[in-house]
Amino acid sequence: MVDVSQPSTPPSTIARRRLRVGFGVALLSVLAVTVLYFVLSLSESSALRYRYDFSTVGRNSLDPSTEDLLKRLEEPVTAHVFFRGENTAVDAAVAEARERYMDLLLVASGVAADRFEFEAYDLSDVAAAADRMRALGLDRVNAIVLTAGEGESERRALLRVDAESLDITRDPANPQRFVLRDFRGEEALQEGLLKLSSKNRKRVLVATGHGERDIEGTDELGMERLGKELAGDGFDVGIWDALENGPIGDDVDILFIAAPSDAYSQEELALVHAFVERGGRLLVIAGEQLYRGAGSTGELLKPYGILAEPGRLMAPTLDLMTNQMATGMVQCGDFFVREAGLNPRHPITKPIWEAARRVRAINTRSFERGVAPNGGTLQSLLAQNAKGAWIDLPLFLGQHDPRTGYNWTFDVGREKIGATYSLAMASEFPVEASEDVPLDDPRRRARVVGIAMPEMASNALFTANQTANRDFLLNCFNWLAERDFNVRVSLRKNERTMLDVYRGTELITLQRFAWWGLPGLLAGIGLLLGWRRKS
Amino acid sequence: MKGVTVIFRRELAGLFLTPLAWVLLLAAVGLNGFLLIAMLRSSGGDVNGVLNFLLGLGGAYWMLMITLPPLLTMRSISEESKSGQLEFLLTAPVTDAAVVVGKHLAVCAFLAVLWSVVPLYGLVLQLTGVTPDWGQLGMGYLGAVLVSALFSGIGMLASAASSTPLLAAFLGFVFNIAVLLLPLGASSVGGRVGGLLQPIAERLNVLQHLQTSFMRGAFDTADLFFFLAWTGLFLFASVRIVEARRWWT
Repeated sequence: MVDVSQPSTPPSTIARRRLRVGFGVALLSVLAVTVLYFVLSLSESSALRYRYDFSTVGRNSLDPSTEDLLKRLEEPVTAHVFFRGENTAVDAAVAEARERYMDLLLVASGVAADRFEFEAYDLSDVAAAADRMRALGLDRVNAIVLTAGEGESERRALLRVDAESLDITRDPANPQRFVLRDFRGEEALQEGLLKLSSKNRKRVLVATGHGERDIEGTDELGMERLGKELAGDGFDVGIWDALENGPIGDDVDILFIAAPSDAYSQEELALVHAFVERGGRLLVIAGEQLYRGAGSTGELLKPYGILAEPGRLMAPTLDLMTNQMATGMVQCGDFFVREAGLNPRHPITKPIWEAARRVRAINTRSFERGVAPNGGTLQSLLAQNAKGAWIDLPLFLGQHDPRTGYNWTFDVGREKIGATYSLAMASEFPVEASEDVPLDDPRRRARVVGIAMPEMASNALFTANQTANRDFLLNCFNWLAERDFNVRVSLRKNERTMLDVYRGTELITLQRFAWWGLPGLLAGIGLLLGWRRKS
Repeated sequence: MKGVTVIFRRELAGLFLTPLAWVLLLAAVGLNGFLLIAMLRSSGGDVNGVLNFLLGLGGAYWMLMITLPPLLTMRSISEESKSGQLEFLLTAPVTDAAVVVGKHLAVCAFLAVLWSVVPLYGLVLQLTGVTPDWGQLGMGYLGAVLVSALFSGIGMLASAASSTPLLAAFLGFVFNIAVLLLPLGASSVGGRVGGLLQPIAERLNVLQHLQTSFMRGAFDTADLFFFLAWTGLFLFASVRIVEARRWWT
């Protein structure tokens, strides 16, 4: 018999064909993935990427000035975000700010993907978050730290997103609720980015060697917290010892002298004056012990129109036993400078005045207005005393405290009462500069700030609870360094469109449509189609 | 193109004539309607926030997104292959690509109809005098359609690679979850595996591409291309598998 049926394909041929098909599929798959990779890479390149904001309130857009700043960043900037909800009455408002900050960072990272990125830390991982916060010099959550540079050259700027730094008010419709009045996150971001810019990097020298407060001191009288805050605010902080370092260099922007206890020599004072006369900036906190006389902070400030008054400023305090205002207690030397005592126009005090916060003053001295340097202005009342304050003079007799010499009581005839006493003064005046220095250059004018509150910078008062004190001092540094960037970004309207769920009829209409109208319509059509199909 | 249109119309008509499609539509609309009212009440009436929740922010959205496309695509190729209809289709004067793309577009159109209920809610709100952010709503809807297209593409691939619809639906469901959770998984897996997964996860981060643009009311070509390119890849792979089926037997 001869087999006449169709010859079957040999198994080896089938295997070869399958191998060929398999190889072809694999090759095409690799090719497809490569094409995909290139398409995605190309679409993400800034030259080919196009983004348009369709949202009504422009939540995906930045102010042109912010966009420009982001695109012109000298080096990549990272925003480290430490956000956490807190169980407080105002947290709903703060949460809205946090949300809008995240929006802002997201948009900013989209605008300049190669220059700006952000990282939000998971605060439930307490140990890791604490390590990172420590490394960034941060001592509280609900803050954003902007960083640029690495290692020694790392610069930081802090953006606070807490109830004290936000514009929060009671909801007029529901006074139990707090709402965010204005959100100025974009301005804050711009200012932070400007602070990171190397040209805006300011060098602060902290005087040492005369019993001044230690910028690295961690005890209550130390200033470690201020040091961290300054570093976080983009300042480059160093130490100046007149004996060791001699004249202050031209690269220094601010000299900070904090409550010295030992007298400066005339040569050392001359070094400070020479620095100021070259357009340097000086911040002096009055000494607790050495306050007036030769080599004191009083002598140092005198040429700038800031005169030290004798004694300590006291104010009547609440006696918890009688529930009445009283004197004769050590607590009289611990009072608050309230809104009315702050200058509402000066850049140092204006933000604190606007937020109606109060500055705490302990064992404070006071200043008297002197004569401003030639052509200069003297802002004598940055902060002033509380009502009923008097100057308590030391006397080592009778009822006076033998250690301090004060009796915290107004002594008629010997002490002054009822006047306005200044707790901080700011002096600004022109200085001689060579002709090649531009007219608007900061080197053509000097600025001096005197603070009569010895504990102003100490760790004891520089805490999260005393935000007004902290801000007062930081504002002093920023004003001295002329880092008031005057960033103004148009405010966005509130993003929320609210439906009145309690009183209006809109929700009922919507509910009828969503629960019955639309499902009913779909069910009807489905049944009709099913019936037609069946029939 | 003509082939795509013919297949698309045939598939779309088929979809709207099956009871399953209407059951799915009704279930999705019911769920969205319930969530809409509940969320409006709990948020104190934050219209844009709630509409955004329904179009990408809420868990229900993602639940629908990973389950509906596989259920709709499971029959597309595997059942037709099993019943022998695919053989007829492939011998018809249309290309394999036209068959796959036409079927995929039909599923996408169905899902687009399904997601259109959210803009419809917006329209009702507009008629009652509360104006939603239409830019954000429109972009959110576009994003939902694009994510649907991507997950339907995965469903098509699963359908092409499976012998039964049930297996196709299961595979599609698993792939969708895997794609969605890949970035999360990659970040939690440490070591060398995590290092290998990370770049892939970054390239396939569906959530990020949806949330950084469409859900925020922004149109971004990079995100558009992300969805189109990945959908294209899955459809390409589906076409290859259908083609391989032809030559395999």
